[in-house]
Amino acid sequence: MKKLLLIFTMLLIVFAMILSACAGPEEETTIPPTTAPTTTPTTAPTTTPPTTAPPTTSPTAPPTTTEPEPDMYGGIFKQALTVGPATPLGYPPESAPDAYSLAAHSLERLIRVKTDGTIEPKLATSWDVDKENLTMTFYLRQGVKFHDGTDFNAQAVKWNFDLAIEAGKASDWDSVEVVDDFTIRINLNKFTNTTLTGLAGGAFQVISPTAVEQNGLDWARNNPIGTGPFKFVEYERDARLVFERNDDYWEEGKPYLDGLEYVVIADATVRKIAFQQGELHRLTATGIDAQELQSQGYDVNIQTGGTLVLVPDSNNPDSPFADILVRQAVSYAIDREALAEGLGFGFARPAYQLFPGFEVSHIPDLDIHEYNPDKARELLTLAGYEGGFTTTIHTFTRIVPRDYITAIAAMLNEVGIITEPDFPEAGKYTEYRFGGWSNAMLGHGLAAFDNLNTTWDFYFGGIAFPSLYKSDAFRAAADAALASETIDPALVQQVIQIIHDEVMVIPYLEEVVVTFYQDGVHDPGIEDYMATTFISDLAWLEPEQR
Amino acid sequence: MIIVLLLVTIIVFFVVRFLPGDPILMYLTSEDLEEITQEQVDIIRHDLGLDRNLFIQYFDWLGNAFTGDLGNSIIHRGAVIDDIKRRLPITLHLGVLAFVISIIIGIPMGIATAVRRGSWIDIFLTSLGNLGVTVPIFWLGILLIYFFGLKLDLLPIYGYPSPFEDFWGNLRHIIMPVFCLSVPAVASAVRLTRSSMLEVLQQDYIRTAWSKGLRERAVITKHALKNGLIPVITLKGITLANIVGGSVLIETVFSIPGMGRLAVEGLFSKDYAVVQGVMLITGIVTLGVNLLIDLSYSWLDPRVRYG
Repeated sequence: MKKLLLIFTMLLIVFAMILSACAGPEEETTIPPTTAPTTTPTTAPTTTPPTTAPPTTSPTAPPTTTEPEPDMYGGIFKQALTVGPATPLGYPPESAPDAYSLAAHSLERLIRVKTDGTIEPKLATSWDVDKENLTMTFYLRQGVKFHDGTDFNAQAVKWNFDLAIEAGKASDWDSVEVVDDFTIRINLNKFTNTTLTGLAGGAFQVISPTAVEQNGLDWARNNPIGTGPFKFVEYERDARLVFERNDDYWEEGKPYLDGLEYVVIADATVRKIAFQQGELHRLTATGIDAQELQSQGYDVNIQTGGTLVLVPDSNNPDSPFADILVRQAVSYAIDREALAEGLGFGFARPAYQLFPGFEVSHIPDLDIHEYNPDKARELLTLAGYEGGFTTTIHTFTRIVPRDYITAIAAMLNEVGIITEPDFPEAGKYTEYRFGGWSNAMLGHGLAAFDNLNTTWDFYFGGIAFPSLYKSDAFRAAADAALASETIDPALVQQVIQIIHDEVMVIPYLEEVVVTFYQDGVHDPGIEDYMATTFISDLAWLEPEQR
Repeated sequence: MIIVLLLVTIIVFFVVRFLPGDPILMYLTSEDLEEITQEQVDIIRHDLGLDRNLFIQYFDWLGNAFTGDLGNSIIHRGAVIDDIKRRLPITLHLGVLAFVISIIIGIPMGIATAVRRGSWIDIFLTSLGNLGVTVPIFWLGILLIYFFGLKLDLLPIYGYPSPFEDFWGNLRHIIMPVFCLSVPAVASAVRLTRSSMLEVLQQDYIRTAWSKGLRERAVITKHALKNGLIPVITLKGITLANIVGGSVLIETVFSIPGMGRLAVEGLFSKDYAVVQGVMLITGIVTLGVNLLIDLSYSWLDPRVRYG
């Protein structure tokens, strides 16, 4: 019997190892972060850009080619992901933002947008927007090939964009038509200034129709075949994602790297240690980890991001928050400076308005709600809540750190608003967010976009935040900001002013993205594009980092 | 057993459905379609078959499960069975190694502490056992990573290369996770074996064996051990079943793509098919292991066979 036990045990081990060996790489994957774009550099990165001129933003000029130095070439750029992309990498109609940004190394779009709002030609060399006749015409780059060797042309773009319309990802579009082999026209049902910039994101990555037709949808989901600077190699879900250099890339001299490798490391401490070991070239860190890395002298780039806010259920007539005086009281009761200083580890900044770090939206002379608990109590009394009331803040801790909400609850308790923090898991929080909440506030983070006007549709349109009251004045201002031909700071600030005056949401901290680099790592893209998007065709490594 | 398995499927299916959260909203959030209308939500729910009667959904899923089709993930669209095929071997590799180590080390240590009760060996090993049971393995993992990864630069701190593609690399990668998984398993084996053996060693038939003049080795191995092992086997059976579910903490700390992380990510994203699939496989293995344990009782204790 002992022998039998021994044999059984050995068989178990061997069986496990054989199965393990048979386990091929996974293709796609996991959970979608709810974070979104943007940023404006607030500190210059310590890396130096390559000796290339930035691509022009003129819609009629192609991106400038570069005269790279020989020693800029080579190396695999390694980074960590907290979690692998959940949705398909290779089939944009089914993808989510995390998948888009990773697939972007292989799949390109017609244009690319910088954080300053300038639009850069990519697969389109130029374009015409006819606001009166509601059309956008794009003139496509010639001589470009997909990674499977097939030609990029107008038919391929139409095939892709038709899928986007079918998937409901182009609500402003009616149809797409091929004008000639390298010209397409998009017929719109309405025009906003996000219509064109929107093409630089979302589902408008272009994949090879032939690859999908020949290999089927299941294969395509796992194999992004585009025109980008890197070819997809493999994706093992929750483990690693690998790309190799596209030697036939249309932009001469690009890319500089031999490849890209992402490893999925769920734990923040392990990610930090991997970076300290030199296993990773770039790392986005927060809180105490960021503070430690900064104190160790690593190159750092800090960019402004979105804004952390409380969203009261002002649309519910039975809620205390239906009264603007109560919302103002909450705003006055929050000591933003103390939050930033005490919990921000030197990286957080107080926010008294939405997106304070952006020139386009910043209102310098705003009558802000500085910390004033006496005034908060006074406002509560005026609102008929002299004895205070009880409420809840629902927060998903993957969006807002738990400590912030706990501290805010304590501050509100001080003025008589007895606040119970609630930290539901993702499913329940999503129900609040889309289904509504009562006598409570949501602790949320509003991400900034390249075009801040996207925010009004993204957060305050559709079915999100149904418990938030949106006044006619807000809707009119938001519509006006969206309808202007280009982004108009005055109109954007008008919306911000109304949000502030009506205390629709209560901003308290500005989000920042803190990115660290090893010495000898060059990531010039972070200066011009949002920090959450890695512009791989611009990055390069010095020889000791390869 | 089949009835129990059916009950497991019912519990798994309905418990997951009644957890808070709507997978469609999770899916839509992930799609970043906050501008979507309720009609579009309803269309997606219909397309995924989630608007049907729950019992119809259950029987549909059960019927497919019998043919090996556990459905497709709502979030990433792939077949759940493919996910499980990829991740189960990884989890088994780590778990079975930890299981074997816990038997090879834990049981002899438990016997030694029982036989040498009150000696320094007993005190030392029992203290280690208590420490091993109480130490948080998440913390232990981070500590090992800090010393053996960052400070000494001896071992890799994340990932899992295939043992057949890179055997030595795989070995280096699994040393720390397997150690972490083994610590509580060894500790619990030591503690249970000790208390069980102490009880058996006070039985009359053991006194008889000593009085017959048998050597210590014979008394322990031929007379005491079999009975002393019965509760240990039960414990180890449960451990083996847990292995299939994967160790979420260890897989998270060491970034190993195993069953535990699959289950947790499935739960976070309300991915019904993934959670149901993982739970079903875990349930089947648990039942199989329980059957093996029941069979082993009859070998260890003939009274069970003849009772």
